[in-house]
Amino acid sequence: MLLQRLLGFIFGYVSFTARSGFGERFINLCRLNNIQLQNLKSQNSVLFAQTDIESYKKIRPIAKKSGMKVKISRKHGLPFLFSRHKNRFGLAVGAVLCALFVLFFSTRIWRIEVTGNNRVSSEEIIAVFYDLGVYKGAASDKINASEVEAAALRKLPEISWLNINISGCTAMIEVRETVEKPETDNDNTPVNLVAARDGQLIILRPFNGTAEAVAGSPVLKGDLLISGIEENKDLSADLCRADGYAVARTNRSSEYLLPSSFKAAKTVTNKKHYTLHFLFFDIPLGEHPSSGFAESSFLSIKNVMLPVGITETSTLENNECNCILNKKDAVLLATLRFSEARLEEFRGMEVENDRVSVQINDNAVLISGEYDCIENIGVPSPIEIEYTH
Amino acid sequence: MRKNRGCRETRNESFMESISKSLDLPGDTLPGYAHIELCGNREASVEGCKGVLEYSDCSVSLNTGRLTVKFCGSDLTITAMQDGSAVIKGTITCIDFGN
Repeated sequence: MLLQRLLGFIFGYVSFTARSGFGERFINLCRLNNIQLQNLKSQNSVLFAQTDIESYKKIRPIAKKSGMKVKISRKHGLPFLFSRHKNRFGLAVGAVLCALFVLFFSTRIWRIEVTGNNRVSSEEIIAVFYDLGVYKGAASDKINASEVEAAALRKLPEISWLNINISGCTAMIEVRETVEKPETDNDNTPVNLVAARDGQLIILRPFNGTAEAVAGSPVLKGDLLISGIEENKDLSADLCRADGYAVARTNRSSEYLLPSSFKAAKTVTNKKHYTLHFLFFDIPLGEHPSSGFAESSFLSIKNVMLPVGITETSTLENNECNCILNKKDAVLLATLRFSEARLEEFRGMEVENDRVSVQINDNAVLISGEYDCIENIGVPSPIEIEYTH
Repeated sequence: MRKNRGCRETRNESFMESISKSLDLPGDTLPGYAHIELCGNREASVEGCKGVLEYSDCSVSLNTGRLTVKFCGSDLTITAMQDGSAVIKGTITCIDFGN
């Protein structure tokens, strides 16, 4: 039925009415003359039917014989559409050009998607593929996927596997990155482990080397904790890289001064610039900024992206300005910055006791704190070796 | 003379029928018999249609050679009619056969 309607649309057909006569004779004469009547319906002695254009031309004498009057009620299909617009050459030319345009540009690549990358940026991968002939506007049938894949792998050492799939106007590049080699400490330079700051040693656990201090004893900055010289049973000595835990109770103090008035950067303008994308042309609308946050959006029909879109680039301009805070805000800001700094400083430590004080003046807020910490104070210190002849 | 020809035709038909019966051939292979297929009461296709005798939206009468088949119902439409076959659509309420 669908095929019949499609053929009817292509070749054209007419709907007509036949009235006042012998309907049955008209039908039989049509059948005898090989005129195919479709959707024949009779209502109040009026026949409604459809037939093709050629058959309708032969229907007049038959209607006359059977005493019926036929009249076209509607014309359907492309032949009538074309004949209606036969004097409009521009329309025909436009339709042909449109068809050619769609046919030509549907064989091009308009979208390149990169998936699976983490360390290597998509822009870097797209740039490599650009050199190999995979770019916006490239003919998709001229791309030899296996050759491009092999060449791209050679150019991207951080990629272990990649695959390019061209589906319609989209080139999908799927990549797998290489696994980074873990950093191993292969440094065998002989070192001692010395105290990084003053404190009272709580735990001393040497992994390598000889312990030179005992737990519970006070140590000063630079005191030897674990020696990198190991004595053998035959009283000879070997040099090694001392390693171990030297946990001590230490005392730390810090302070943060925030003046009531200070200079800070303030975003004053947020300019937006637009770039129009049409096929492989990028048309900047106005002055185009060198940097900024860009967001592109493309037209798409049923998830098929069209090569027409716009990019919005936002640029922020910062100006220095004088900030004057009231006391409450100054304390709040000073506390926040002091806490942030301590968070970074005390990473990997345990704070047993803390004493924080806030001093507020007319010009500044001073926050000072004293802390009793438990921390690893062992740091490597190179062993100085003198060779004597 | 006409009477004799009629007798000969009847004899031929009965002879064809007897051959058809003895060879177990389906009845619609015989000349003058129509093949009618019904699809519920909504569609009927008739093969061996030789003409339309009566046509309105509530009854369609077809000439099938030896028989006349009359379809009664409502909204009856002949959707296709070609090469001796006709397709009737609509709500068929009864089918009458006549000589």
